[in-house]
Amino acid sequence: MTTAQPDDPNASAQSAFFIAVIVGVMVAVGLGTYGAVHEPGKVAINVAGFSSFLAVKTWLGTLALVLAIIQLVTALKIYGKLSGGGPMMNVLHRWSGRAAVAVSLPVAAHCLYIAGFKATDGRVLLHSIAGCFFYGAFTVKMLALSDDHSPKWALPVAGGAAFAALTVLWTTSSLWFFTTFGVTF
Amino acid sequence: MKRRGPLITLVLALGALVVILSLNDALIPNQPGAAEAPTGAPAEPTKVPSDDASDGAEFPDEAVYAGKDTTGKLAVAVAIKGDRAVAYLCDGRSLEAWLTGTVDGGRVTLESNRGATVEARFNGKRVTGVAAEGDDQYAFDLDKADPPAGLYREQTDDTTLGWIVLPDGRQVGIKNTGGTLAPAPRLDPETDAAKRVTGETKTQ
Repeated sequence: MTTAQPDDPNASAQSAFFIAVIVGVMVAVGLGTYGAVHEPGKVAINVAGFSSFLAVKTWLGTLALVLAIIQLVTALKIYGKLSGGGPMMNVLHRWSGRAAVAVSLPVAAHCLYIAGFKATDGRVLLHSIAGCFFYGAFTVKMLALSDDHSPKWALPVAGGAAFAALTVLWTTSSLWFFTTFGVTF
Repeated sequence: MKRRGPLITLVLALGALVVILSLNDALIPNQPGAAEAPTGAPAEPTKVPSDDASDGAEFPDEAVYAGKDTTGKLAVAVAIKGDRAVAYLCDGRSLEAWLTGTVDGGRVTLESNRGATVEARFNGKRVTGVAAEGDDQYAFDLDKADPPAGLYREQTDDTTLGWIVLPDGRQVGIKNTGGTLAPAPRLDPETDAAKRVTGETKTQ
């Protein structure tokens, strides 16, 4: 309410969300460009107890997916699509979301740094696109969330897009790892 | 009205990503030998003896390496593609193992579903490491094996054939029929190019 408002609040809402989408696209394209342009690095981080950092990523990715499923369930409760909503749901939704993004960061950094945006085959291309798209959708959702004037459909759409992207990411990486190498650490 | 929580989350998340990426960049050029100890992450367990002498070389995206072990008894081939790897151990008569694994920079770790293991490291040119099969260990130092050399495999219902074609053209192969091993018939690497194994070939 402190900022100057145009006469039509609807137009303001739409333009604010439009800007959020533009920023999201910039984030996604920026990550993809970095992945494509940056020469793959040589550092190979590993965590003790795992056979390779690929295994670490697999399990972090799986954790992110579990948290994303919590996101979906709490969101449905918040919107009254599932029974059992309440103020706790907001807290749970907020923190499972932050945790999901947090565990995704080392995975994404490793992907972007060691591998980059690649089109080696369909799986890899799909994974590259979904990875960039995920952070774009996340950006749009955070920006839409911070502005009360956002259209009502903005949050479910951005959240749904982020969830869908994460599902594609997990299927094209962790599931592939499990089916190729077995459920190993 | 603006809510600041999501903005803070967003800035922290994207900021952390940028920090991790630039931290990697800042650490690499100055410490080519520090390939295994970057960015404050817990250290990698040391498995391959040559870890300390790592020169930071990274496997190419796709390549096959082949050679004999130091005793000359066993042929070893390692095929790399992206971050996946396939290896084959074969003595041409009565011992063979197919292994799959992952590539991490210049390090490859593989395992067969019967417990054979291969751990090796790339020095920029050659692949050195150790294969363990049963109670025996085999040290090896492999050359790049460009076609027609390389690793070949053919699988039918109950029969699997595997061949290692060494860089000098010699072949070592086994025909496995339902668990019964016998020397493999000679392979023509030119006409059987479709049987070439890459790091992504499914072998188990």
